[in-house]
Amino acid sequence: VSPGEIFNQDATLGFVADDDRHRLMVAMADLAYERDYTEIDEDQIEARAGLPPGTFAAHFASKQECIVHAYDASLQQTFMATAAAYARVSGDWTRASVAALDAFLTFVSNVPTLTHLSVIVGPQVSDAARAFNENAPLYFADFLRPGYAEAEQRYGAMPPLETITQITSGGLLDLIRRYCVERRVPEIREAHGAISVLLGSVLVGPEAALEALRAYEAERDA
Amino acid sequence: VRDRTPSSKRSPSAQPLPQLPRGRHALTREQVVESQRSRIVQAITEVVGTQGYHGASLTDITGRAGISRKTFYEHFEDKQACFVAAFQPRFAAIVDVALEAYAGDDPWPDRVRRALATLLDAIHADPLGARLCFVETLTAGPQAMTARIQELERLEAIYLPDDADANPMARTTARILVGGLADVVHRNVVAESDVRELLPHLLFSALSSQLGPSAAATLIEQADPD
Repeated sequence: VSPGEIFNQDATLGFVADDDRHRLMVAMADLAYERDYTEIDEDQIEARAGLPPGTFAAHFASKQECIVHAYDASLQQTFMATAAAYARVSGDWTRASVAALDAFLTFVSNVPTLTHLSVIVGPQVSDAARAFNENAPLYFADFLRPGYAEAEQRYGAMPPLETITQITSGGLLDLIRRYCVERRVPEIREAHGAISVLLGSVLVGPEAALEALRAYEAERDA
Repeated sequence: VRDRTPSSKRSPSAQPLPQLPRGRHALTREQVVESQRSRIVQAITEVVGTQGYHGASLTDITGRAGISRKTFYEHFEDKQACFVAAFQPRFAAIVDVALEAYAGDDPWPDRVRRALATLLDAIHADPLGARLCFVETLTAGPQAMTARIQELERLEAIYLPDDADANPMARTTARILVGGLADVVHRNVVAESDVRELLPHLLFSALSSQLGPSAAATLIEQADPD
């Protein structure tokens, strides 16, 4: 997946966009990865996109609007890829969760500038993006729901699913922030094992979670 | 978009903080400079704590500190640098008390419980600091984010059990748990909920990551039957 592909795929979802618009969003993400977004002006975005002066204003009212549109498209595609990976593994929620996390981290690592824009820049410029990021970890609650129901039956009272999800997936979001700050987003897949085992451990224990990870990796690598 | 500012805190005092006497006085230059700096730090703490980082203008901060813009820039390169000077010592103090509580030779689960309880008490006792450290640091900019990461990194020690060296995933797991802690605290601070109520949940996540949910639930139950 490349940033360009994200926006092209997005067009098939009814997102009103053309090639210039895609290029402007990609250029915005690239520049915001290199410097503080407040130091970026429209001329620089147009130059990076290889477009003539005035193009930016034809598509976006402001830098903030451009960032929010890129943020929306990027997150939508990330979540779709993650949900699709989960759905492909039927009947075993632990392996399905491991697969979903792998898809999520693969997507995130492939588009470092858009990841940075979604996790760092978006919340800086938009209250809506900030609020969305606060709730984003809860997106993973559905993946854990079957395991949570089993754990409740087995162990009795458990902390609320939302809280468990917030702690584990919120930790993942924070980890992504860190890779962004350290400019190491392409390496984030190295955390796949740890986050998979942590998510599973809370519901089935570390041994069973590690077993599910190894089974998934063996199947994937085969 | 909802107003994210706590309702009880939307009107910070427009009055400047107490200042040094005007005219001739016996204070040294160092004392004057120190007074200015501490007023600026206190001012940005109050203004950002009540209006949010992006809602806090330099005019608000200098007005509250009772200094000129020129004086502000004699002390700090920009608003973000000033913000870091305001929140990092508070964040460091919160982490320090947790690490002190964690120290000891008793079993790891007991030390984690003590550290988390102390940490949450410290956060609860400093609502303005909690807002600065756990909410506003996320959107203030790269310097603030880096300082936040540095403080959270120190906290990872409490999530590393004694045999952590034998587990190649232990460091990343600790990092994720600390990030998760910061994330739930963030949500509670924004919602103005009591962060101390998070203790059993944070403890469960920490213990189950090493011992599994059954052992974690048993340990929590034994330590606090209520």
